[in-house]
Amino acid sequence: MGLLNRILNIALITFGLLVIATSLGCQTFSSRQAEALYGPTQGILETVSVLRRHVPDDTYRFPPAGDFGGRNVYRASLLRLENLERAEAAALRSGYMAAVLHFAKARALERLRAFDLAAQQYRESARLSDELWQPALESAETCDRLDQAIRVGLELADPIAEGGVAPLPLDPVRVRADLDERVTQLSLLEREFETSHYRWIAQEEIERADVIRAQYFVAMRFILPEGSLLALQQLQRVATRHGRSKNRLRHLLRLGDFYSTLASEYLLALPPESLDFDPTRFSEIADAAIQLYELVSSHDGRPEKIEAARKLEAFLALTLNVDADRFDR
Amino acid sequence: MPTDLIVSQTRVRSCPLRIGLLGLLVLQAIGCIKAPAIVVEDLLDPLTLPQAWLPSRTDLAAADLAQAALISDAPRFDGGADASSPAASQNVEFALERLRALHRPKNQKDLLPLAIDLRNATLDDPTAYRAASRALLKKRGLDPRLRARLDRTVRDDPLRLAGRRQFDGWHRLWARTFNAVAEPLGSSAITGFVLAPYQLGNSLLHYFAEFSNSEPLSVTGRQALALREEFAARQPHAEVTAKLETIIDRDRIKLEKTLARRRVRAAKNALEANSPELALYQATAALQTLANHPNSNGRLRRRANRLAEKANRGREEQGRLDAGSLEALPTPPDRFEAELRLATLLLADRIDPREIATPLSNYRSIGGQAVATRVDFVEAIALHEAAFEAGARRQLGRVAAKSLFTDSMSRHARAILEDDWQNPYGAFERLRRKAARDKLAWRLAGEWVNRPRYPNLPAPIAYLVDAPTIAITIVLAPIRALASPWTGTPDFDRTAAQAGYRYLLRFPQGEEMRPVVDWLYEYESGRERWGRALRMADWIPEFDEEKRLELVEKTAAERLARIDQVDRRDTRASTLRGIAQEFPDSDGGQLAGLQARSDREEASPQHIRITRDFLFENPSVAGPEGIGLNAKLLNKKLSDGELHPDGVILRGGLVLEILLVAEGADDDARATSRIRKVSKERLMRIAVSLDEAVRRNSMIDVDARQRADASRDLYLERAGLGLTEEVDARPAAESTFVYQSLRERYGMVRGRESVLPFDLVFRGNMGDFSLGAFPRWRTPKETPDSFLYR
Repeated sequence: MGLLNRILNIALITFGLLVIATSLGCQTFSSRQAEALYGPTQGILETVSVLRRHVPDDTYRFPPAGDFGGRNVYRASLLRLENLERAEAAALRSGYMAAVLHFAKARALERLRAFDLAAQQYRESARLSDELWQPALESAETCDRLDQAIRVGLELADPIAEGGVAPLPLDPVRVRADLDERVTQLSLLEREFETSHYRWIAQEEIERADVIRAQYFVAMRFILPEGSLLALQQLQRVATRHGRSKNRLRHLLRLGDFYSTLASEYLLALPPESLDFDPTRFSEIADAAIQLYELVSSHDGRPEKIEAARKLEAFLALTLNVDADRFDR
Repeated sequence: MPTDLIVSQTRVRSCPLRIGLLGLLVLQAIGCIKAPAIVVEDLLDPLTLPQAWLPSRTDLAAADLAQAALISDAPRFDGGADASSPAASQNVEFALERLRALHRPKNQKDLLPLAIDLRNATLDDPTAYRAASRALLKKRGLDPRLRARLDRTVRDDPLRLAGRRQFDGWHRLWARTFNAVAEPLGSSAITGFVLAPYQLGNSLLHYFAEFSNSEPLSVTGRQALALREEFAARQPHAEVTAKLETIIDRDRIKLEKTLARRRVRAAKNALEANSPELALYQATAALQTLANHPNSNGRLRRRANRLAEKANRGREEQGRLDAGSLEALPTPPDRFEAELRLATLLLADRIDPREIATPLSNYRSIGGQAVATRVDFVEAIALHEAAFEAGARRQLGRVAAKSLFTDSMSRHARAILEDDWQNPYGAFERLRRKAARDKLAWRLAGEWVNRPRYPNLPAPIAYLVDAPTIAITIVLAPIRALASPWTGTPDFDRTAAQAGYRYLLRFPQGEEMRPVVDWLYEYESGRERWGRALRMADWIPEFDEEKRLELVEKTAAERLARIDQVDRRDTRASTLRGIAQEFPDSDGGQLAGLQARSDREEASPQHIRITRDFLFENPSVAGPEGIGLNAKLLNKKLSDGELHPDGVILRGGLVLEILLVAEGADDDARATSRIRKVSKERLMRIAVSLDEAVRRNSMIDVDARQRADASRDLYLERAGLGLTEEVDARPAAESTFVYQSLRERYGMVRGRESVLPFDLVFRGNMGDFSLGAFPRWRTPKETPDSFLYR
C-alpha cells in the first residue's frame, strides 16, 4: 500500500508539474506570438510594399484598409516610414534611400489630406532620383492642384480650438460660390485622372466640400431666412449626391440627426401638451427621423448601424413625452 | 287481406301527407330565398333642427357648484377629532347640499356622483382625494367613465403602488416555486409517478439555477424604489417619510449593486474578448456606481478593482505592442541595394509582373530564403494589379501561412486576407463555411448553440444543469429537421450573402464573379426575394428566358403586394409607376399601371373610412346627431338597400362617399359608391359625434382607444369648426385612417382573463414521452412602464 501510495503521489506531482509547465509554455508561446505580430518593421521593402498594395484602393467608395493592428494603413505606413528614417539615418545622410522614403511618405500623406506636405515630399524625391523624377513631379503637381482646390472657400474649423473659432461668413451666396468653385476644380481633376488613384482622392474632396456646405447652412440656420429648410436641402443633397460613397450611411445619419434636432427643438418651443403643438407638423419631422434611423440601422456590418439603432431608441424615448393620442409611436 | 287493407289505408293517408310535406318544403324554400338587394338613393335623413334648451334647476345648481369649486380656497381643516384631515370649503359643501336636495330627472342620474367627485377634487390633498374617491366608488350605479377615472385615482397612490410592485416580486417568486413543483409532478402522472423523482429533481435544479439570473434589485423592486422616492420628494414632512428613507437607502445600495454587477460582468467579458480599453471603462464605471456607499458592496468593489487593474495592465501591454509595431529596423546591408531597387520600381509606376520578374529574381538570389515571402508578397501585388485577384489571393494565402516568427510579411498578408473589404471573396467563403457550421450546430442542438440558459453560472455548471435538455434536443434533431419547412430556419447565410454582394461591388469583373452570382441567385430564390434573384439572374448570360419571365412576374407581384402597406398616395403612385415602367410586359406591371390609374382617378384629399360595424357599435355616429344615415341602410335587410360593410368614407372637404351593397349582390361583393356633398353643419356633426364616441369608448375600455393620426385629427378638427372651404390637397395631409369596430379590430371575441390565479396546462413531451396535466401559476403582468426600469 505504501509503495502504491508513493507511486500515486509521484504520478500526481509529475502530472501537476506537467500541467504547470504546459501552461507556462503556452503562455510564453502566445506572448511570443503577440510579440512577433507586433514586432518592428524589418527594412524598407516591407513598408513600401504594404503601402504600395493599397495605393490604388478606391477609398471614396470603400473604407480605407487597416494594417495588422487595425490602424489606418496610410497613417501606419507614414509612422513606420518616419521611424525608418531614424533607423536608416546613415543611409539617408548619404542620400542613398532618401528618394524612396520621400516618395513613399508622399503617397501616404496625400491619402491623409496633407497635399502640401505630399507635394514637398514628391519634389524632394524628384530631386534625388532619376527613376522617380517623372512620377514624382506629376504627383507633386497634382497634389499642388488638390491643395489649391481645397483652400478655396470655407473649411471646417476646430470647434474647440484654444483661440476660439472664427465667426462664419454671413454671405451664403459667396460661400456657395466659393465651394462651387472648389468642386469645379476638383471635378476637373477627377476627370483628368480617371485611371489613377487621384480620382478617388478628388471624389473624397468633392464629398467633403459638399459636407462643408451643408454644415455651413446647418450652422447658419437661425441667421438665414428659411435657414432650417436650406440646411435640410443641403443635407439631403449630400445624401443623394454621394449615395455611392463609403460615408453614405454617415450622411443619412446626419440627416436623421437634423430631423431629430428639429423635432427636439420643436418640442422645446411648443411643449407637446400646449395648444400650439401641431401633431401633423411634429409627425412629419419625427417620422422622417425614425425612417432614416431605421434605414441606417438595417445595414449589417457597419458601425453606423449601432449608432443609428441607439439613436432611434433615444429618439423614440423622446417622443414618449408626447401624448399617445397626438403621436403614433 | 288485412295486409292489403293496411296498404290501401296507408296510400289513402300518404297522399295528403306528401302534398302537405311538399307544400311545407315549397313554403320553406320561398322563405329562404331572400329578396334581392336594391340600391336606394335616399341615403341621408334631413338634418334635425337643434332643440331649444333651457337649463333646469339642477343644471343651475351644478353650475353653482362648479363655480364654487373653481374659486374655492386652500383646504380648511376640520376642528373635529382629526384636526389634520382636510375638508372642502363651506361654499362648495353648501352648493353640493343644494344640488343634493333638488329632485333630479332620470337622465341626470350621474350628476350627483360627478358633483361629489368635484367636491372631493377641491380637497387639494392627494391622500384625502384618494380616500374620498374610494368612498365614492362604493356607490352603486356609477357611470363606467367615472368609475374608470376614480379607479385610476385610487390606484395612483405611490406608496400603494410601491407595495403592489413589491408584492409582484414576491408573487413572481411564489409562482416560480409553485410551478417548479407542480409541473414535474403533473407531467409524471401518466407514468404513475415513476419519473417523478427525476423530473422533480431536474425542475428544482433549474429553479435554483434560475436564481443566478436574478439581480439584487429586481425590476419590480426598482419600480417600488422610484415610487417611494417620489413620495418622499413630494411629501417630505409626512409621518411615514422618515421610515421610508431607511427602506429607500437600503434599496439604493441594492440598486448600486445591481448596476455595478452588470458593469463588472461586461468588464469581464470585454477582458475575455481582448478589449482591455472597454474592460477598463466598465470596471471604472462599476467603481463610480459603488462610490456613493463606500461601506457597502465591498466584495463587488474589490472585484471591480481587480478587473480595472487587469484591464489597465492589458491596455499598457497593448500600447507597448502597438508602439513597437510602428518601429522600424534598418535594412540589412547585403540587401540594401536590391530592396531599394525594388522599392523604387514599386513606387514609380503600375507594376507589370513581367517587368518586375528580373529584379525580384535578383533579390531572391541575394536574400535567399529569408526574403522569399517578401518576393511572394510583391508578386501578389503585381497579380492583383493585373486583375488576377484570385491568383493574388492564393499568393497572399501562401505568405500568410508562413510563421510569424520567421517572416514579418505574413502578418500583412493575414491582415489583407482577413479584411472583409480588401478580400470580400475570402470573407464570402469564410462566412459560408461558418454558416454551414452554424446551421449544422443549430440543427443538432437548437438554440443551445448560442449560450446556456444561465450565463452567470460558470460555463461547465451551466451546461451541466442543461445537459438533460441538451441531450433531448440532440436526440430530437431529426424530427426538428423534418418539421423545419414549417417551423422555419434562421437565415444563417445572410452575412455570407452580404460578403458576396461586397465582392460583386468591389470586383464586378472578378474571377470568382460567376460562382458568387450563382450562389446569390440560389440564396435569394430560396428566401423568395424575387427582385434580388432577378438582379442576379441578369448577371448570368445563359439564364433561361422562360425562367427569367417567371422571375419578372414574381418580382412585379412581390412589389405590388407591398403597395398595400403604403398610405401616402404620391409614394404609392411613384411605386406603381416604377413597377409598370420596369416590368411593362408582365401581368404585374400591367396591374400596377391599372392600379396607378385607378388610384389617380379615385384620389381625394382625405380617405377616412368608417366601417358599418363601427356604426352598429356607435349608433350616435350613424344617427341624426352624426352622419344622419337613412335607418333603412342599417337594418340588415338587403331588400330596402343596405350599407356595405366598408361603410362611409370622408373624402375631404364636404364630400362623403357612401358605399352600398350593390344591386342583386351581397356584403362580400364589391360596393356601389354614392358621392354626396354634405352641408357644413352635417360634417360638423359627423366630426363631433366621432370624437365623442371615440373618447367615450376609450374612457370605458382601454382597447377601444384609436391610434393617433395627426392628419385625421386636423381634418376632423377643421370640420368640427366648419373650416372646410380650403382643401389641403397635399399627399402628406391625407389620412387613410379606418374607424373599425372592436370586433373587426380584435376578431370575434376578445380573450378574457380567467378568474383563477393559474392556467390548467395539458402537455405532451416527445423527449421523455410524458403526458400530463398540471396547474401553472400565472406570474403578474409587467406594467407598461417596466421597460424604463431595466
